[in-house]
This record gives sequence, C-alpha cells and structure tokens, in this order.
Amino acid sequence: MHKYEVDQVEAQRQVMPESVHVRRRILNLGLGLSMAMVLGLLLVLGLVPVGSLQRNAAAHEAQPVAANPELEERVMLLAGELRCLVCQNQTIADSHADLAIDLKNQVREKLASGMSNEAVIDYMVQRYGDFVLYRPRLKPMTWLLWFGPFLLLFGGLGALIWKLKNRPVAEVLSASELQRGAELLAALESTAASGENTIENTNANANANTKANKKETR
Amino acid sequence: MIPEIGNFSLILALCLALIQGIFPIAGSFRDTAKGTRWMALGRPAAAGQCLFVTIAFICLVYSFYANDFSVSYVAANSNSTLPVYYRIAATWGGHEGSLLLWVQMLVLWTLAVALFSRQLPDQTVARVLGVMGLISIGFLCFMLFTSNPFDRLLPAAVNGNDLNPLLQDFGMIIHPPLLYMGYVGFSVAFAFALAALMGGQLDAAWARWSRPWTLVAWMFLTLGIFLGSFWAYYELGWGGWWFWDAVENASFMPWLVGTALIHSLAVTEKRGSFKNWTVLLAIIAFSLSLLGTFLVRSGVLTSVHAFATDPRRGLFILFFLAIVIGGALTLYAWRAPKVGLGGKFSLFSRESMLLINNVLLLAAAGTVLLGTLYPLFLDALDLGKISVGPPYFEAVFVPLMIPVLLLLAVGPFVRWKDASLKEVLFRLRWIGLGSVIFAVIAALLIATSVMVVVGLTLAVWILLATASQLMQRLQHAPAGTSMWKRITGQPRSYWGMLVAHAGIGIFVIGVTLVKGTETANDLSMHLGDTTTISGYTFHFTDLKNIKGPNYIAAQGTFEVTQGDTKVATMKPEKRLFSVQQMPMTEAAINRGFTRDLYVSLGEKTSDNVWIVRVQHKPFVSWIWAGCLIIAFGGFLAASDRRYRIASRKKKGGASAVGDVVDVHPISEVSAS
Amino acid sequence: MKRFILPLGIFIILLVFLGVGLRLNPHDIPSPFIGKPAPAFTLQQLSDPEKTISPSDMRGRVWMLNVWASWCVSCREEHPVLLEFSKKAVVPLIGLNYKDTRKEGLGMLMKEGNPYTVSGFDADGNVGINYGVYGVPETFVVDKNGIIRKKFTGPITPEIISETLLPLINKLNQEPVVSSITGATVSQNSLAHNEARHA
Repeated sequence: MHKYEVDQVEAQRQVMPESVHVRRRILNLGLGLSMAMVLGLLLVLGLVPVGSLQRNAAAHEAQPVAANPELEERVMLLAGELRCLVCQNQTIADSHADLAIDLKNQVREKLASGMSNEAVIDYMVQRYGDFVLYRPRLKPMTWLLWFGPFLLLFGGLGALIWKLKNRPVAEVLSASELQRGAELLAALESTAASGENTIENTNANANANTKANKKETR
Repeated sequence: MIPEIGNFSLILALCLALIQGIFPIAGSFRDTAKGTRWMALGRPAAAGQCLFVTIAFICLVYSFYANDFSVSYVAANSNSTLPVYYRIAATWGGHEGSLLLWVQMLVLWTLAVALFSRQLPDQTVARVLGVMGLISIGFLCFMLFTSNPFDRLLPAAVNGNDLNPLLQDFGMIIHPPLLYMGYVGFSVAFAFALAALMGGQLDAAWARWSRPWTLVAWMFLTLGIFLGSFWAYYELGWGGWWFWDAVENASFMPWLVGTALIHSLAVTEKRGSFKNWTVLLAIIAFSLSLLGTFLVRSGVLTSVHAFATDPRRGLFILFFLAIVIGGALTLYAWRAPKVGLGGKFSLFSRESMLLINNVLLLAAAGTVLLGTLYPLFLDALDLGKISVGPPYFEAVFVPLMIPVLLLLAVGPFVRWKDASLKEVLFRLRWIGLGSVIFAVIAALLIATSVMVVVGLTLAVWILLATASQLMQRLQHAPAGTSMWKRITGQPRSYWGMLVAHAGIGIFVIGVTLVKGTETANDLSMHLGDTTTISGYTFHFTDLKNIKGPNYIAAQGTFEVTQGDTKVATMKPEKRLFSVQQMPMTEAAINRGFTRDLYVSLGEKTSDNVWIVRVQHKPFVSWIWAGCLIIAFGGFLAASDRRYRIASRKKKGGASAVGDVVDVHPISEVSAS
Repeated sequence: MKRFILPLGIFIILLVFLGVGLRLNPHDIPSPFIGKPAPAFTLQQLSDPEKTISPSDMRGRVWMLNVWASWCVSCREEHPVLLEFSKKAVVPLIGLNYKDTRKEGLGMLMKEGNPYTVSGFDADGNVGINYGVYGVPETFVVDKNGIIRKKFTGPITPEIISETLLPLINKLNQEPVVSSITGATVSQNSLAHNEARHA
C-alpha cells in the first residue's frame, strides 16, 4: 500500500473509533434492553401461578360459601353479569345490599340444583327483565349497540382511505397568490438581514398584514 | 358574613366574565382604536375574574373549616366530627361546591393563558380569552341561578349530615382537583380552535401555541383518571379498578379524543396538515368534557358518582351545552371550509398513520359513548330498559384497541410525507420476530388464556419497538458525537413520546395479567381458619372492635405466609360511620412489584364468623406505574425547549426563524 | 361542504335524546310480568301457620298483592292509605310479608291496623324474587284469570288510587273470566250458579 493510503487508513482509524465505539454501545444498549425486557417478562410469567386454589390438608381450612370451588367460580362468573337493582350501578358480586346477597344465593341454589349458566340467566331475566343483565342480549333492538363499534371502525377507516385516495391533485397558485408569496419572502429576507427577526416582529407583521388585508377586503 | 362575601364575589366575577367574554372578541373584529381598547380588556378582566372566584372559593373553604352549618351546602356535606382535612375536601364533595371548583380551575387556566401569551398576536389572545370568558359566564350563571353553594339554611342546623364515608379519604383531596384541571384544560385548546376559526387563519403557529396547553391538560386528565381508578381499587373494597360506570366513561372519552388531539396537533405543527380536522378534535374534546358535566349532574344516568340533582338543573346544563357546543360546531361548519387542506402526504406516511390513529381513537371514544348512552336512547324511544355494563365494554373495547396497540409501535418508524412500507417492515423485522417468539413461549407457559398471550405479546411488541426506535435514532447522528451528546441532543418531545408509549406497554402488561390471571375467593371464615390462594396462606388470627374519629369498626387480622416465610399481617376493617349510619369496607392490601394481596370483610354471619373475600392480583401495580409513566411522558413533551419562553429569549434572534419553522436536525435525519 | 355540517347534525340529534332523557327516570324498572300469569306459590299465612294462601285461591276475582315488611319505612307511610282503601272493600288485598319475622310482622299489623284480607309469610324472600320484587313496597294488580296487569313500585298514594288504580279495577272487573281448562269464557251467571251449588 502506498504510504499516503496507509496514513489515510491510520487517520481514519483515529477519527472513526469514537463513533464506531458509540455505535457499538448503542447496539449493545438496545439489545440489552430488549433481552432484559423479554427475559424479565418470561421469568415473571414463570412466577405467575396459573393453577387454581391449592387445598391445605391441615384442619381449620376455611370453606368456600358454595359446596365446591368450581361451583363458586360459576357463581362469581354469573354474579359479575347481573345487576344489583337497588344499587347505583353495581353487580350483585360486588354489592353488599340485601337484595344482591339474596340474588347471589338464588344463583348458587339454582346452579347447585343443576341448572346451566344460560338457564340461570334466563331465570333472572324472566323475573327482572333485560335490565338485570349487564351484557345486553343480541336482538334487533341492540343490533346497533353490538355492531355499532365495528361500523364506526371500518366506516371510519374506509372513509379515511377513500378521502386519501381521492384528494385533489396539487393545487395551482393563482397569479395574485404567487405575487403575494414573493412579496412576503422579500419582506422576510430583508428583516432577517437586518437581524431583527424575532417572534414579536413576525407577529407584529402578522398583525399589520391582517389589518392590511382587512382594509383591502373592505 | 363570609358566605355573603363569597356570594357577592361570585356576582362580581360574573360581571367581569361578561366583560371578558364579550368585549375582546367584538374588539378583535374591529380595526379601530376602540377595537384595540376592547381587546385590551381581556387580560385585566381575566385577572379580576380569577381574583373574585378565588375569594369566593376561599370563603366556601372557610365555611367548611369553621363548621358554619348555617350554609345549607356545608350542612349537607360536613360534620363537626369530620377531621379538618376532610372538611376542606368536602368543599367539592357535592354538586354546588364541585361546580365552584370547576370554575376555579377555569379561571386559573384563563389567568395562565393571560400571563403566558405575550408572544401571541393581540387578536388571538383576545379571542381565546373571550371564548374562555363565555364559558365562565355559563358556569357562573348556572351556579348563581340554580346551584348556589352559599345558600343559607335558616335556622342553622346543629350539625351536618357528614361527608359520605366513601369520600373520607386522601383520594378525595386530590382526585377531583386533578381531574378538573384536565377537563377544564381542554377549554384552552377549544378556545384556541375557535379563535383560529374566527380569524380564518390556521397555520403551524396556531398548532404550536395550542400544543403545550393541550399536553398539560391531557397530562392532568391522565393523572386524574389514574387517581380515580387507584382510589376505587383500595376504597370500594371489592378489588375492582374500572367499572365502565357512566361517569368513569365521561372522563375516559375526553381522554381518548385528547390523545387523538395531541397526535393531530403534532402533525399540524410539523407539517401544517390536518388543520380543520385538528380544530374539530379540539372542539370535540372539550365538548365531551362538558357532556360529562351534564351526565353527572342531570340525573339521566345511574351512577355511583352521580350528584343528587333535579331535572331543572339538567335542563339548564343542556341549554348551556346547546349554546357552547352548538355554537362551536356551527362556527366550524361555517368557517372551516375556508381553511386549506395543508401539506401533501402520500397514502403510506407518518401523516396517514397518525390519521389512522385518530380514526381508531375516535371509534373507541364513539363506542364508549354509544354504550353509555344506549340505555337512554332505548328508553327515550320507549323500547324498554336495558343495562350496558362491563361485559359489553370489555367485549367491544378490547378488539378496538388491538389495532391501536399494533400501530403504536409502527408509527414512529414511518417517515413523514412519503414512506416505504417495505422499508418500515425491514426495520421492524427483528422486533416482529422477537414478538412472535415471545408469543410462542408465552402460549406454552400459559396455556389457559388466549387473551393473556395476545395482550402480553402486544406489550412486548410495543416495548421492543420503543427500544429499537431509540436505538436507531441514537445511531443517526453525525459521526463522532459522543453517547451523552446523542442522548441529550434529542428533544424532550421525543423523549415524551418514547416514555408515554413505553408507559402504555407497561399498562397493557398490568391489565392483561390482572384480568387474565387474578384469583378471588369468597369464603366463610371462622376465627382461626386458614385458606390458601395461589401459594399464599391466610390465617385468620384475630377479630376485635376498634374506634375511629367518626366511626366504629370490626377489624380482622390475617397473618399471611408463603410456604414458611412470613409475608405480611393484613388488617381489613368493616366500618360503621356514626352520623350516616353507613357501613363501609376498608380492604387490607399488601402491595408488591409482581402482585397485590387483597383481603376484605364481607358480612358477619355469626359471632366470629365472617364472609371474607381474599384475592391475589398479579401485576396490578404495573397498571398504576404505566399510568404514571404515561403522564410523565406528557410532562416531558409539554416541557420541550421550543415551548419554554425563557429559553427562547436566551437563544435570542438567531433561532427565531428556526422556531417558526421548527426543524429538529436530528429528528429529520432519523426520519429520512 | 356538507361534511362540515355533519358534526353539528350529529350533535343536534344527541341533544334531542338528552332532552327527552331528562324527563325519564332511570330508576323506574318496568316489570316483565305485565300480561303474564302471576307466578304460583303456596305460603303459610302470617297469622296462622296451619293455613296457606295461594294465587289460585283468588281465581275468578280481581285482586291485589301488596309486598310489605315491618322494617320498611315507606311501607309504614303507605299503610294508612291501604287501610282507607281496604275499607272500601273494592278488591281483596293480599299481603306478602317479605323477609320479616312473624312476631314483628304481626306486631305491625296489630299496632297499625290490618288492611289485608290475608298475608302470606315469605320469610326467605324467594316468592318475592319470583315476582321480580327488588324493593318494598310493591303492589301488583291481578285480573280474574290470574294475569298480572299492573305493578306499582313505591308507596301507593291517594292520587294513584283515584287516578290509576280504581279505573283499572273497574275495567278489569268488566272483563270475563276465561276457564282455565277449556279456555272458554265462563259467564258470571254460571259462576254464581256453581258457587250456589257448592254452598
């Protein structure tokens, strides 16, 4: 290699190291962050207990209110869907009102007697009407409710895409607009040259211009 | 005497609001000296209005502090046994007082606009202050004519009805003020939007002025909603933190639209596009704030948060709504066509991605509105009564959010004006791969729930993309720049975006894991019983009666162990407040980084036997952390250098042109 | 240009709905039993555990079921109004003592007077749930064929009696009885004839 080229390479090696060094650090930082996040999440997922209630063999084990935990789970599930009618917007699962407790007990009784979840819901609706359900049933009256969100979504996206596709092609400036543009540019350049281009001046100009415009249009 | 001073102050404030609302706007359309004088009335009127409303507010607070039960509102919401800090918080515990709080926030924001608007043209300032004045007029009239907090009760009550026990909590002290700061803050964006429509001029400068105000309002609203949720979690005793209650939705809708607005403002500021769309969003955001006010106080919807009011007040607010929102939308329909379309951009570009963001967020807000008002619609059409609750909202809202979360990660990688889909996909290849691998592993570890896997994968996707974005951005600096310079060289608005997006990722982790894997058990426990849930053993060791300042309580003690190690001692209570004779559950929560343990007493079935609800909630703290991080992101973005007047003055004239055009060398390079 | 008016248009529609909403009461829950048969039950009588009361006992007549309890403040408010009404002997008034104790229920009737022909004792509230009761007091008007025709929630007031209840009872009294077996209309004469034969 020619000496000059060697020097060049040497020079580059002296100039470059820092940015190469930085680039490597950035890459390491990014990779490290990402791996830490993913590993951390996986570790934590491993810690998340996915099993159900573990039974303690010792005595004095507290009893769930229902006969068995599976039944109680169904009770909780259904209770979360039913409204407490004497409360200001609460489920019978969360309310401590007498009626809520009564209804929850009814749910438990009916489930224990072998009724399906659907049947218990029907039972409640027969007595209290649709009002008692927090998940409205799908019927013509509630079509708009259930399909509305997706209509909004797809309608909105569709309207957006249609509008973007059908935009008018670049607007052409009229002759007077071109002239006005040139005037403004000239004014801007002159004030920049004089070193007094501040926000205040720009705004003062804007104020003056609007006043001038107003005078014109009148 | 003090209540009378308060009342009189409100009347004076109304007079000043009338001046502030009418003259500056009228003056801004006249080019005479008189017009200029009228415009100049804006700032002093705003200052005066602020002074008098504050005096009124202090008078009301004092009435509570001094236990003045000759004031009807104080008698209805306070009691002499109430600790002093709750007595003061009780000021906004009912309808009338919370209205005064609303107006107090409004005048504070107005004053802030009046003080920090020196660099704006006089016309704009006049119109902005004018619009805010008009809103003030409405609320002050509403208070003075239908809901005066200073109404006397003669003869004075011996003692008051006490504050609702559920509200006797630290949350009551900060949640409403923060929330109202958010709601009311959107009135500034609203006022700027109307000012722009009035002037017929919508340019990047307008967006630049509005943006910090909107960001700060949005930040406060985020904090306010977070606090409400956090408070409900520990206060209500059943472990829930969001119920899609009408009033909660009323705060969530402006938040969703506000998020769309801050993104839209970013585009209008940088590229001059979307102008009249951004204006419309600003109008909608504040309109939803006002709608929330209507829903809470009119009695049309049932809610735990609703104030007890009569339909007459509801009619007044409805009328007010019609004028303000109807007027704004009429102005929009009339003047918006005159405002141009703005800069051009191609079908795949950051602009279009942000537009998709807007459509998605608006669809989400529309969905929440639909669900909240649907029972009302059906009832009004005489089609019967239904309930729309959490099962509906969760079923509908989650699918809507999935595209938002997906695109959240993609957006920052897409260039302005014209981007290549191939290039973006190329840049995202490792993140995509990583997310897919994660999804597979997660699915194997957690076989139970599809939603948990989907939620976590989305969160990982967002977090990886955020990290990758940062990485790629740091790389795009002139060779030779040090690491430190690269980091500090990024504008705060960029950090704000990164932090807020990362916060969403963390929030999604929390929500997914709590909803997907939490366990709860209702048990009948005798003193001495134990129960085990998710590896934690709860031993019911003690039960006694205790006395508080204005309540008596049954307090249970639970020793919690995990295997052989002691974890905590938890003491849930069932309180009975003496004045209102209302029982209340005070849950015991043992908070942790990866889980919360939650114990609450239900009903007493017999001596030493209670129905107890024991819950294990994984990662619920991540929900709170996520919210706080999001709010912090908003703060960072709002405190960007280009919004700070002091730093601009320091930089002097040289940067002025740069300010107006607003080019960030580093950001533009990385976007290319 | 029309698209700029769209937001205003949507808002006006919303405004109209909200305005109508102001006149409605979200707490007023309609009963799903209107027009359906009164759910069957057999309960011990409050005053005498040996005897029972059941809706089928009232077949052929218009009658009212009033759900009440001694612990319910509004029921006490309603009580004098019911007493006045029962004195007119327009229709039999059957009480449903809801989630109460015999002692306290009877105590209230003895102290405040007894407007009821007879009261059923629903200790656990299950019959109440079968009727969709969610708060006391509630009152059902049942026609001759055992179909529930109206439900009042909250205390009965003199206005309700004069404006709604009495006209309704008049109307229902004029309706014929439908035989539960054959579905044929049974004439009043043959009904009286049957009663005379059983006497």
